[in-house]
Amino acid sequence: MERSTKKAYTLLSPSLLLFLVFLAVPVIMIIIISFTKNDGYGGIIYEFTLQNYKIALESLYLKIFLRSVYWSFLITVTCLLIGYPFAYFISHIKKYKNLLLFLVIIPFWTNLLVRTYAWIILLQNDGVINGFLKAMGFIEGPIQMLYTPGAILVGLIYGFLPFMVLPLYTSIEKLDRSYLEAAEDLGASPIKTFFNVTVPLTMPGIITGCFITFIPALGIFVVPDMLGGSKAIMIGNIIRDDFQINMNWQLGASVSVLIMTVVLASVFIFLKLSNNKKAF
Amino acid sequence: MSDNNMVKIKDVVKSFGQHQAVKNVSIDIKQGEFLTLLGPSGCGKTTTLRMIAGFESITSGEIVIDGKSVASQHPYERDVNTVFQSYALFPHMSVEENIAFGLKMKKYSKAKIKEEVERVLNLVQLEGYGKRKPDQLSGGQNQRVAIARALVNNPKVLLLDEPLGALDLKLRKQMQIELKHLQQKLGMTFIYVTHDQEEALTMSDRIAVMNDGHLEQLGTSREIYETPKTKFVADFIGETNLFEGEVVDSSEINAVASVEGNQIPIKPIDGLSPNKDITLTIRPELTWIEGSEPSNGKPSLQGKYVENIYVGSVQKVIVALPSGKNIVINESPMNASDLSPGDEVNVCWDVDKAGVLTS
Ligand SMILES: Nc1ncnc2c1ncn2[C@@H]1O[C@H](COP(=O)(O)OP(=O)(O)OP(=O)(O)O)[C@@H](O)[C@H]1O
Ligand SMILES: [Mg+2]
Repeated sequence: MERSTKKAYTLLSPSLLLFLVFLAVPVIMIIIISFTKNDGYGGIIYEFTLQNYKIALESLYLKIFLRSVYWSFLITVTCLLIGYPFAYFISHIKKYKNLLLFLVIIPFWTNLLVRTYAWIILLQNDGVINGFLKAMGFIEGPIQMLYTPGAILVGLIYGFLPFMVLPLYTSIEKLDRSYLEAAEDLGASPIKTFFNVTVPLTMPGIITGCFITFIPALGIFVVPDMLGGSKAIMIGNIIRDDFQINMNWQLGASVSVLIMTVVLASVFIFLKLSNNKKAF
Repeated sequence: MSDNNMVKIKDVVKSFGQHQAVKNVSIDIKQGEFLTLLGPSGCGKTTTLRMIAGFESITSGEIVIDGKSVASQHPYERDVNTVFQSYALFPHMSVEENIAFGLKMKKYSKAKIKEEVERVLNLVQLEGYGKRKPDQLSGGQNQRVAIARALVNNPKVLLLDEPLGALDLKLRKQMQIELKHLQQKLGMTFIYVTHDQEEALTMSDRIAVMNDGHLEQLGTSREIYETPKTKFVADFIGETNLFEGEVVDSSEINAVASVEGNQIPIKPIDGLSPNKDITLTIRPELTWIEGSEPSNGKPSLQGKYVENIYVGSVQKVIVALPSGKNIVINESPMNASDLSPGDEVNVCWDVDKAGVLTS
């Protein structure tokens, strides 16, 4: 028993090292910086202060943070509502299954930036959609789609859908069909079978999918930047601006630490709750 | 119901693409009957059961349950319940919740559900286990839960697909008896699938022996065992010695066939005529060994004693015939034989105890 643990650690050591250097160290640096002072030109003065957190908790930041949470939530729920039927469909067909899975995976191979550019081409005033509508005679002038909150939502949902679909697909695929037959045998219609058996038994996939959609959605800045213009900013944009434009690393770091704390706490509480219920 | 048939399987065929898994099977199953579908792996037992439950469509033919053709009914609309081979107990629900599931779907009141769950837990002797999850129970206990979950709905027919397959021999034997008693007590129609012939003989009112998708023989345990109609049934049910032969002479009262180069009296069944090919099936427990040829005209085959295998309740004596074929005889371990390999012996039986098969 002990030997196999040792062996496991040995085998894991390269990835543990990677994890330490590229994740733990930067996070620790961020935490340290969030408690230091700014010299006014972007330099770091290593003196302890809570001033950054005071600013980070001001109502403007808080409002943007809450809006980001709300949007991430909206995106997660929408991805779930679109992703679940889709994942269910893929795992239940025989033909074209691999092709569809392939289509889900393809976006992972292209940078999100590039894919978001594609949305600009589609949505802009002289873009594909407006051009098409005009050619068909449905509209006279262009509809403003780019640089609206709607554009950000569409772009983010598009971007995160694969993250939702893959874990859902995995857990639906793993679901033993005999459970569904048992439910039907006991008099449950397909809809009742779905809500009483399929959903609870694929809950691990639902939870994983929601987490890996919600968490990166909360921190993202590329998509709102490109599709939302300067009007609609999310908390990710604030942090990016503090680091790159305002040269105020301390403020960016403290906002980051706050978000991390909130996210970790909510993940922890959620896991604790679902563990206590002994659902699985 | 004009007749008392609860289930009628009429000329049912099931094809998967080119492959016919079930071929023109017809069985009438009476109300309260314990019918077993018995046959080797892949012979179409599960497929037949799944067509009754509604999980597989019928390619052609008809299934009637309690006087109604069920072709257009979904599984959840049929008044039958299944005990699955893998049990398929919902892992996210407790024993109680599993059992209550069917009643909940039928919108029974909470109080009524509680009462019914208590009743069946009692019936399968699992009082006090209601709060546990399936993964906190043993295989045998889960098996009882699966039966309780199906029984509580009081179905017209209970379908059981090798429900005891996962249990060890001792528990399986015990559960066979319990299940049989339960079925008799409830007077419910059971259709039971197994590939274990001993299990089938123990539990069934009637057995339908299937082979490669078709029905070989339908009859009571005794009929199937004592008067198998086909070579397959004779071979599959119990142990037997099969010999090919040819009728030499036959009349109303006696018949003779040439078997292994000997002229042997056989049972004069209908349809025998000289030169007709037959198969003789001789059960090991209905034969015995004598030192010299029996003088009373009983059939016998001469061979050389090979060995003696002790298997507990009996010992199996192996005798090699001149053709090289072995014949197995069951003897009581009390009759310790003083034979040594190579000794000439005669294997004897009663004429009417050896089955004569013409197909
Ligand atoms: N969904 C299916 N698609 C194609 N062929 C199938 C399907 N289900 C069963 N078969 C085939 O039909 C035949 C009968 O299968 P079935 O499961 O009824 O056998 P069985 O008698 O229950 O065997 P076992 O004792 O091994 O459970 C087999 O040859 C099997 O391969
Ligand atoms: Mg089977």
